[in-house]
Amino acid sequence: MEYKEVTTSIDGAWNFSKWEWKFESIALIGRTFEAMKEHKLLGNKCPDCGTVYFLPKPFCRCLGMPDEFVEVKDTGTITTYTVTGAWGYEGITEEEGAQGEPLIFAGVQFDGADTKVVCVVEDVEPEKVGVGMRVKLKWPDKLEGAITDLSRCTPL
Amino acid sequence: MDKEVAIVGYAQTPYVADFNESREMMVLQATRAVLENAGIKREELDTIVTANNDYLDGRTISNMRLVEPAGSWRKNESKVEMDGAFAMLYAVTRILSGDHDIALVLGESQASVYAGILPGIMMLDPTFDRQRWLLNEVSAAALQASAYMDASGVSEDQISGVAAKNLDNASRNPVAMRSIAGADAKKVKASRPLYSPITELMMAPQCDGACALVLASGKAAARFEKPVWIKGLGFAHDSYLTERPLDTMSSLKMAADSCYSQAGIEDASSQVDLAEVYERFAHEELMAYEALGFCEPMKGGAFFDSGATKMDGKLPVNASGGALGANVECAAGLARVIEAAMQIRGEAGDHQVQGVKTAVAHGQSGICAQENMVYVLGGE
Repeated sequence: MEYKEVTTSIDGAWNFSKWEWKFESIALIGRTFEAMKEHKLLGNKCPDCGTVYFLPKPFCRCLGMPDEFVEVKDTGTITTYTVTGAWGYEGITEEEGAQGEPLIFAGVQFDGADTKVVCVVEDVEPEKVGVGMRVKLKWPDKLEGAITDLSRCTPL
Repeated sequence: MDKEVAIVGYAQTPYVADFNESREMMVLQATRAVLENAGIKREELDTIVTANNDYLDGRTISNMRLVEPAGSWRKNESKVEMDGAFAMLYAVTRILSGDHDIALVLGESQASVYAGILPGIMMLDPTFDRQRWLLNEVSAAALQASAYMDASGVSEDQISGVAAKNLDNASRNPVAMRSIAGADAKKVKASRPLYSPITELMMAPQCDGACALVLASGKAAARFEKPVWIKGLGFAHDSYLTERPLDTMSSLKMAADSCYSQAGIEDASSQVDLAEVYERFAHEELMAYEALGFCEPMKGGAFFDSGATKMDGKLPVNASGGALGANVECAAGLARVIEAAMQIRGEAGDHQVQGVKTAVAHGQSGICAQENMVYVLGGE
């Protein structure tokens, strides 16, 4: 039997509106945002293996529980990066890059941290960016208490 | 199976309405506790299998963020989207492959984050059943109960009695969420009606929690104290609920028969000392008595009335309170295995049954127990 002629789409929805997942990250990052008011960046450190998480995190890969807030520097190193903006693909529009303006973003490991934060890198030509490049966080003029406060870096 | 795979450690978090921590932190607690119980370090784990559900966790590949708290960082890890009893099956097969000696099995979820009956609705056939809002897990179970009552003559009073037994047992289990010491059938029957014949206290309460166990190969088990051996295992899947008789748990019987043949059990009613059954609804425990061979087909009600399955009966069932005491999706079947192992080791505390040498544990997944998993466990 040939089914193709009578195969139709059936409307359906996955109703996620009533899910309320729990995360400690809100409380932890809140502490970091609070410290940013004093121009400090706080990550946290695992008591068992010494790994420093920035952004802070409540559990460690060694099964330890990071419980000590430690300061990391606002300078860091690009560990990886990508450049976009000259093109796009279906379904994705780059706010800043849509007009062909280059957008550079990178995995930045701030000094003193063992993990990376994804940041936009500004004030530099795309061809000059590279792994190993030293950068510094661009502190916002006005802190929003949101992850966007930690989103922009400039070459050191 | 003869001394090929053993349970050598176990842990359960408390089962609660709201764990009030992320699932990652909840899992971390279970992992640390089970490693401590087994007396091993994370580094000694060869393989990890978790049971969880993308839909409940709100992201695909939901085990991704459990890599660290489940102890699987840079290790051989996988998961199943079913009950933890099936994750254990996966881990057992990995050990039997000869490639791994020590496995961690973990089941977890948090019912506090989602609307209770929605996940069951997402299991339904999407073309005809999902959008009519008639079927959900509770109404489907009501249809199962009704069919079973008609075929067997089991009464609402008997079903209520099962719930009362388990809720009373749960009062002696420190990790249970719902318990009623001295519960009686009348109270169960008079609780809030859901879909007839099911009332609120006949339904296993959804809650938050995690449980885990450590398995060891026969070779590796020698270094552990009090290993609990897997004597047999069996599993079977049945068809969708509208395409099978709902008055019998045929796939559970097939799973049990297969398991018993491995374990050398010819007469379960005399050879099994205790059973932990995953009863998502009270009537399913009666149906399981039959499928597990504890009594003749359609005689589950009479078997219950004989008192055999009470704490002091000849074959106690759900001394822990079963899932009626706490029902964590993806974990409650694995918890049955853990409870059975605790009984064999004599570590069940206030709900310990004396002299348990051979125990049956049952896990299930799917609407109206579509898939079933049975283990026979034994000591030395």
